[in-house]
Amino acid sequence: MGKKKSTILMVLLTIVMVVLLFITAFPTMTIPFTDGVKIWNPAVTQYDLGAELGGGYYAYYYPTGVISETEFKELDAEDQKSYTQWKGLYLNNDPDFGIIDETEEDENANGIVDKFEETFAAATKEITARYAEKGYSDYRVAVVDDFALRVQVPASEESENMSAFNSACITFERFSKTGGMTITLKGSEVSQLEDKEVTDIIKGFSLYERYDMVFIRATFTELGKEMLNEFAYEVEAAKAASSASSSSSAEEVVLSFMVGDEAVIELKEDYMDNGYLTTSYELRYPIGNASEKAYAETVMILLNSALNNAEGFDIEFTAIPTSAVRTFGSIYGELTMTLLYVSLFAVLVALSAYAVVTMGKYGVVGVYANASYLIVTGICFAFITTGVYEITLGTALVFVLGLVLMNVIHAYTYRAIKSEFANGKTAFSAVKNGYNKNIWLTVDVYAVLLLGALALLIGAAGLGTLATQALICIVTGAFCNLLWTRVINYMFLSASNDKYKYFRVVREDNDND
Amino acid sequence: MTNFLAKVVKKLNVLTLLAAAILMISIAVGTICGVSGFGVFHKDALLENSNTLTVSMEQFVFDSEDLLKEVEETCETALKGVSISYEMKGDMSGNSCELVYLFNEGVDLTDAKAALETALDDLEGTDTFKGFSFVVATNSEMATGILAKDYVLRGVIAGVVLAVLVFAYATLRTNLFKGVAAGAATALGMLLTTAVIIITRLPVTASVIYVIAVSGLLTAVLAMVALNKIDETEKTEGLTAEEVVVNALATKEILTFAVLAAAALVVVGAVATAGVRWFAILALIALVVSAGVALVYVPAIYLPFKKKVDAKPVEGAYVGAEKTSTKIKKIFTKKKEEKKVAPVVEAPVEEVEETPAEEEVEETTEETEEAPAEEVEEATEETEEAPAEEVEETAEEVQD
Repeated sequence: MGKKKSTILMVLLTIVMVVLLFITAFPTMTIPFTDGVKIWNPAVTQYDLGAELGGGYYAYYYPTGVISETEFKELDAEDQKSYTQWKGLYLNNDPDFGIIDETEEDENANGIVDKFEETFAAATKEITARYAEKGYSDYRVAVVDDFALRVQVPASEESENMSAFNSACITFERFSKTGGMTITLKGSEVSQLEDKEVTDIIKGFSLYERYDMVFIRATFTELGKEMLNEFAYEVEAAKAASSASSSSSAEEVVLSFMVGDEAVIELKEDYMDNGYLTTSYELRYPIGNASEKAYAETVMILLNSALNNAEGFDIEFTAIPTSAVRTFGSIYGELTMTLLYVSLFAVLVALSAYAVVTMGKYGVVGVYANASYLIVTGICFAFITTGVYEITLGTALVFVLGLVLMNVIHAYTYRAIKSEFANGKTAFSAVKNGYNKNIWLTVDVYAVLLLGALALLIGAAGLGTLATQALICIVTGAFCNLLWTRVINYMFLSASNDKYKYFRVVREDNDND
Repeated sequence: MTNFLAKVVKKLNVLTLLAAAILMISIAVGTICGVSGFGVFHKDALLENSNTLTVSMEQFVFDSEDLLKEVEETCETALKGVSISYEMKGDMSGNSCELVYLFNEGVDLTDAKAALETALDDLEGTDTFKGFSFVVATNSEMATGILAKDYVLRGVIAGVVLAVLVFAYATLRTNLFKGVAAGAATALGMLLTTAVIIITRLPVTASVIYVIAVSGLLTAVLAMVALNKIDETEKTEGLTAEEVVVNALATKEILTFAVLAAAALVVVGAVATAGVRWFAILALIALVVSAGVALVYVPAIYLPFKKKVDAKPVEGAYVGAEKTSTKIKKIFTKKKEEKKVAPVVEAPVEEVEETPAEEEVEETTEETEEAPAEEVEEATEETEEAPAEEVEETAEEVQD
């Protein structure tokens, strides 16, 4: 490549990289003199963060009749008499609540009704299982003073139609349900449940995605198919009656899947026409577009939990209003992300400086490679999403180690090129042979890392997410080491006046060059 | 250092005992601590049971930076005698917000609560906080859910699959024995990292699994670097198994990566906040263990296999023309002795030259059908020389 051409390409490349770096990592700032976008947010500020780095939300689950000390102190003196203190909680004395045992018949002799203790323990176990099923990278369910729960989730489940806060509020509310599952047709329990359980009708619930939509899929047993046939018959009968009498006051035929008193899935007449009930008696209940997958997952988990605990739990938790959900920042402090970015930037600058100091102009190629690595990984982390895709401390670790590995392999390549010079090779020949000499080491290293990251995809929650992030870092590093640095080096070398000095090699001019 | 490592890699038995001892100690420590209620890992307050102290206040105070700062300073002064694990600022959209302080389970908050209530009562009496009220509450928390479903099981399966894939790749790329060394080293790296974290009782959060997973990846990578160097060194002929392994120690390569990575982790730990610092320390442990396993255990595991392969050549393999040369020598010696016993008198030189030489050459060439060309040349040279010597002797006898 001619000197002029390579110089122009170098300048263009530098401009493009500066622009991309700006998009990826330039600090947030207010843009003056604009009516539209007022604040510039680079890609690194748009990450979904784990609870350790970005905080999240927490809420308290209080059974009916149990209140916190803060609520107790807000009551007047008369109302306060109705409550008995239990550690940091206050329990209602009224026998109707079934909490305080004034007969002293309880086995534990702690003044609490045994049934309440057992029911609370069972409900806690089930609620904990629901959150475990959800697959958060970082969450906490804790029993507070024996008879309340505090649940903490990361702030990451954002979708097109719902903020992360609203998503968390819905999850807290859904998972607090303690009722069992029943199925009603036109308001009355279906006949199949007279002598059978719900599990004899429904096998289970799962997620189904198609046409950029997400559905809850219910699979039925033979008895369930019988129930659906009955529903279809009722729908036809209602349509016939409606067209005969031309009256619109006929009762709507609705098949409802209830959790406690709430209808979670309602099968109406039009669902038969819309194809949501397939000929193989599989129900596909639409939740929304594909971005609502996290919410659909919440509903599916609740339905399966209610199905497996059809009797429900004889305890109810006080409704959690949106105003009672707390937002908290990073538990490591407000400056956690800022300081983490500063430290990662310091590592990047240090490695780039090390490359330039030890490898001269060839080290500048390393600087471009480091910038490329930052751009590609930074943008991919922000814009590749697979549901819950959180940036955690593990992400920072794979980023740093991938960056170091890329620089070390770059240094090995430089060493190989220099040894080719020592054998008397010309500049371009030395570069070619140097890269070829190192190629199998580079391929082996990245192949093993790729296989390792694929294996880690088996891991649940945060480990699976870490594997995806590691794959991004590995592919980027491999691309930089195997191809990108070679391209940049070719451009720089072509533009260089003294190709030997470029590699810090002393050699007399040779006519053969 | 290379000399020391060269001695160490020859002692696989000692290294095996060392690894086994570390694992056994970690199992013992984990079991004792687990049974005693301290947990297999020394878990952070976020994962463990904890005590909390909550200060509820009005939204207005919470939203005002100066007022909130003053409240926080008052709280920290009152709580000076107790060790705070974490502080959370709980912002609510309703009328009140709260500060939540997390403590380890064993911390008694009775006196701290009383001191804080007194301090906040004093604050309420000031002009700045007139009309505002604070409520202090203490609670105990028993963690019932911190890990996703099947988190540990799937993590273990992923680790096993990782080691198997590394074994498979290294075997396909090089040979079975190097594959075994790579796979075993990967598994050992993850196990030893876990063991060291348990033994050192460093506080861990749920992020510890990331450290263990990354240690597996690091060990696999550094093991491939070590095996790559062994591969290159094996191309040099004439080296014994021990010499190959000792000369192939990838000390410089592995230590360069380890030092640079350690420096990067130190920078991250030094600049970032305390919680991130502990994570960086755990990552440093993973790095040191991975580098050590790759540097020492990979060549040590491979050495006995290499020795076995070198000592036992493959059955039926062609050894070389050395065998043929010995056989030819025996034939010539026998022929020489036969000729001394029955000397040749009337045979012309040419005939002497031709018949036995040709016969010998024919015999030699028949016998050396498969011999390398130079060995055949040697044999034919010998046969030419031998009859020539005999001819000279014979001619002298004839003349005499």
